[in-house]
Parts: sequence; C-alpha cells; structure tokens
Amino acid sequence: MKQEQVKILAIESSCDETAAAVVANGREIRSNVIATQIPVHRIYGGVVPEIASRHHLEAISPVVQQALADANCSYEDIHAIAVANGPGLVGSLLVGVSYAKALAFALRKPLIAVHHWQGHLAAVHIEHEIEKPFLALVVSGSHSGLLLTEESGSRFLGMSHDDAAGEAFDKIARALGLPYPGGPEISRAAERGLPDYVEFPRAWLPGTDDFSFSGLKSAVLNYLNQRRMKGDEPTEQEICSIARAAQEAICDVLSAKAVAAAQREGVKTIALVGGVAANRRLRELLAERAEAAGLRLCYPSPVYCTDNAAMIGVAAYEKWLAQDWADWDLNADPRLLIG
Amino acid sequence: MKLLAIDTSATALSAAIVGEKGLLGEYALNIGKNHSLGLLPLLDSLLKNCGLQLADMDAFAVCIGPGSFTGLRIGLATAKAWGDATGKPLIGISSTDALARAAGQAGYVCPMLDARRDQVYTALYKGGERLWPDLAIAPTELAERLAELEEPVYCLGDGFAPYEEELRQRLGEKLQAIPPERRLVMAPAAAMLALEKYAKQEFTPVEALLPVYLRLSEAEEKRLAAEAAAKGGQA
Repeated sequence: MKQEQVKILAIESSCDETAAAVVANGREIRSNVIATQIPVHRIYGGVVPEIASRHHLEAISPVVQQALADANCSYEDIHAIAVANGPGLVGSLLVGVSYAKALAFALRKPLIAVHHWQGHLAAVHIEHEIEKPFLALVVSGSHSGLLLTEESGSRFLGMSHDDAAGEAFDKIARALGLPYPGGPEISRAAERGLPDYVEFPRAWLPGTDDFSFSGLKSAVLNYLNQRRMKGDEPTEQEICSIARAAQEAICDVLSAKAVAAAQREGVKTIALVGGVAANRRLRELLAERAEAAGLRLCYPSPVYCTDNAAMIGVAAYEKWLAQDWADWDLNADPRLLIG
Repeated sequence: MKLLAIDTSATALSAAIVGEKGLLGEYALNIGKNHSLGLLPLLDSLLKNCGLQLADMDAFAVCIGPGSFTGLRIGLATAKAWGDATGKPLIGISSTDALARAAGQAGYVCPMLDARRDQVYTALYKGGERLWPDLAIAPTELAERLAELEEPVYCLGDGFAPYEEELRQRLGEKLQAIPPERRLVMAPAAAMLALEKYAKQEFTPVEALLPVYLRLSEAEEKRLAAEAAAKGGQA
C-alpha cells in the first residue's frame, strides 16, 4: 500500500517577507512563495515595523493561494497548517499567526507553531543529510549565535551581546551610503574592493562562544568620520574597499569561533544557516577553515537561507510526527525562546 | 441564513452570530489582553454553545476600523483566512458605524475610538445616518465641533472614558454618556449591519478587505513632512 504523503502548508511573516510553502513529508518542497518588501523599506534604510505589518496583511492571502496553486494542492490535500510564531517583529508575526490560526480553525486541521530559528536550522536538511550532533552557526538580521544540536535537543552555546551579524551589515552599509538590506550590498561592493585596504578590530570575546559587532560598527563610523573631518571623502572605489574590510572582520570572527566551538564540542559537522548564510565570503572563509579542521560544512541554497516558509514546513514535520499541535490561543511572541 | 461577526478594533474583543430570527449568541471580553490570544477560543466556545460550526456560516463580517492597527490586522487576517478557506463572502463593517448602531439613539451619536497620540477616531451620526467622515482628531477639537450642535450628543467607544471630563467641561449638559455596559461591544451591532449588507450582496473580496487606518505609519508621515519641507525650502 502506498503511504499518503503528509503535506504541510507553512506560513512565515516574521520580518519583511510574506511567505508560504507546501512541504511534503518534511523534505519535498512542493512550492515556496516569497513576497519581499525590500523595495518598500529601502527608502527608510531599514524595516519599518508598521509598514511591514500593513504589507503582510495585503500579501498574506495571495501568497498562500499561490503556494497552493504552485503545489497543485487544494485545502483538502493539506494535512496541517504551520506558522512561525516568533521571534521577530510582533506586528508582522501577528498577521501570519492570525491567518494561519483562522485557516486551521476553518479547515479543522492541526495547527503547528514553529520557532523561526528552528526553521532556519531545518533549512539545511532540505538539501543535505545531516546527522546529530552538529553545530549550527545561526546568522540573520536579528540573531547571531552558535547552536549545538544533539539527540536530546538544541541549546545555544553563545549569542551576540549586541548587534546581530545582519544588523551589523545593515548599519555599516548605511554608514557607507549603501542601500538596505546591507548584507547583499556590502557583499557586492566588497567584490570590487581591494584587500587589506584598512584593518578593523575584531571582538573575539575569548573563553566564550559569544559575539559582539557593535564595536566594529563604531570603528567603521569613527574611521569614516576621521577621514571626513580632514575633507577626505572616500571615493566609490574606496567605499568598496572599506566594505570589504568590514565584511572580512565579521566573517573572520564568525567562522573562526564556529570552527573552534565545533572542535571543542567534538562535533564533525557545521551547518551555516540564516539570512547571512547567503553571504559568499562567509561561506568561503568558513569552508576553508572547516576543511582545514577536518569538519564538514553544510549550508542551504540562498533561497532557503533568507526568510522563507519552506523551512518552516520542514521544521513542522517533526512536530507533526510528535503530534505536537498548537492551541487556538497561540500568540505571536517577538522574543520567543528556543527549546 | 447565519452570519458571524467579529470585532478586534478596540480594547474589547467580541463576536456575535445572527440568523433570520435575530441574534443567536454574543460573546465579549474586555480583559486588556492581546486579541490574538482570545479570539479563536472565544469563537470556538460561542459556536459550540450555538450548536454550530464555522462551516455553517453563510458570511463573515469584521470591523475594519478605524481602530487599533494591530487589532484590526488580527481581525482582518482572520476573516481573510475564513474567506479563503470557505469561499463564503466577507463583509467589512466600519467600526464607527458599528458603535453608532450599538448606541441605539435617534439623536446625535458620536462614537470615539482611542487613536493614541492624544487623538480619537470619531464620526458623527444622527438618526443612524452618518454626518461626518471618519476623523482622527484631538478631543479638544472634537469638543469644539460638538459644541456647535443644537441638541445633546450621545458618546461611546473606548476613546470616550479617557476624555469624558475634558469633553464635559466644554459641552456640559449637551454631553450624554451611553452607559458603560453598552459602550464597548461592537460585534452584535456589526452583525446586524452586516445582515443589511448581506441582503444587498455588498460583499468585499478577500484581497480588498483592508483596514481603515486613517493615518499613515509614523515613518511615512515623517518622510513626507521632510520632503514637503525640502520642497518648501526650494520654493
């Protein structure tokens, strides 16, 4: 007898992407629709929560309908509705959570709540077979941390004390006059920049698995101010070289600390996940160092690195197997903890 | 024929089911918690006690504001999902219309919703007819406008109590307060208004069901003000 596939309709609206996906058996991505608001927020140099929430409400229904159509599914074919309920921007989260809850309620299907980072973490399983234990370097616009996943569960070994890596990219990009979002813009500029044009300090925070990026941001700002006070406005080429130096400082610390933590914990695999995992230099540097240390490195394709609903559908499948349903009083939690 | 109305636009959360014979059930909560927590458990209980399921409804009505931006989005995202899941029509009801109806007064009625930033969302009605468009204004300005009326005006809504004294100072006896127990709950009135719209087939497609915000986001307001100032400076 052929076993019917379990199809989960997943919804994600944590920040500035409205996304829906249909995922079969937690592996097969049947559809993955993302409506991004990047152009809307670019004029403000960052995500404006109220504007993001308004756009989510307009986008949610068409995005979900498109995800069903792309997957060639009707509501009857769906076994459960999954939604990321935190962490993130509360107004943004509430649109996805309210819609998902009402959909599950109307269809009388189970509702599954997924932690946004569990989604990012699950994204690596879409294209790779990974065995536990493994270490994940979770890097996004809102979080940076090292997460150890063992058979018994996941726990953070360390986190950023201040700015997340993606936040650091955004703030440094703004200082350099580059548009939002900063990560891809700095990456693009850095490709054209000269190596070793300037050296920015690294916050190593020895003895911990934590990160700090606010000092780097200040160092870049001070450097630019000092030059400008002397009337030395950087040229476009110089901006690219400064972007390269800043990117190098971020990627150097992230990759070195991830490899050191993996070696200390005795794990053989590092997973690089989250929006900043799409950064080419971070992938390159971490790959070099992981290889030198005899570690395997896995990361998702860029489309599964940035916020998407496919990853939520993948993560939801484990909860489907455990019949871990959310109740009707599920709320959006901007500071949801993992575990 | 059965119709379910929900309201999440102000401090109180409410839901009501109406049929041909009138109101079947109404539930309300005013406990200061996020409506996202209470809405579905409240509905689940209301439907069960009415012996009904969501699928038994012929239409869904929702208050579309003006009101709390976050509250409105919870209600409208919910209604959109029901429209998508069931294919049943959606009916958007103005929150000021719902409050004016709830007042049950033939004279002047002034619904007020808390708009924060020392303003209220408001409008004016007489004999059930709307006289003003929805406005976001300071209570002092509202008092001046209401002072021009020749008859008493009945006030209600979650924006009333915080400014009642201020309004009374200007309006005196002209200010009539709807009793507190009838000031906040909108879903039953919204359901009755929705029945009228249902009869006239005045439905809102899922994608067109959007809140009446009355205001831009603060970031947009600041940007537009800065742009206008820059333009003024050039001229």
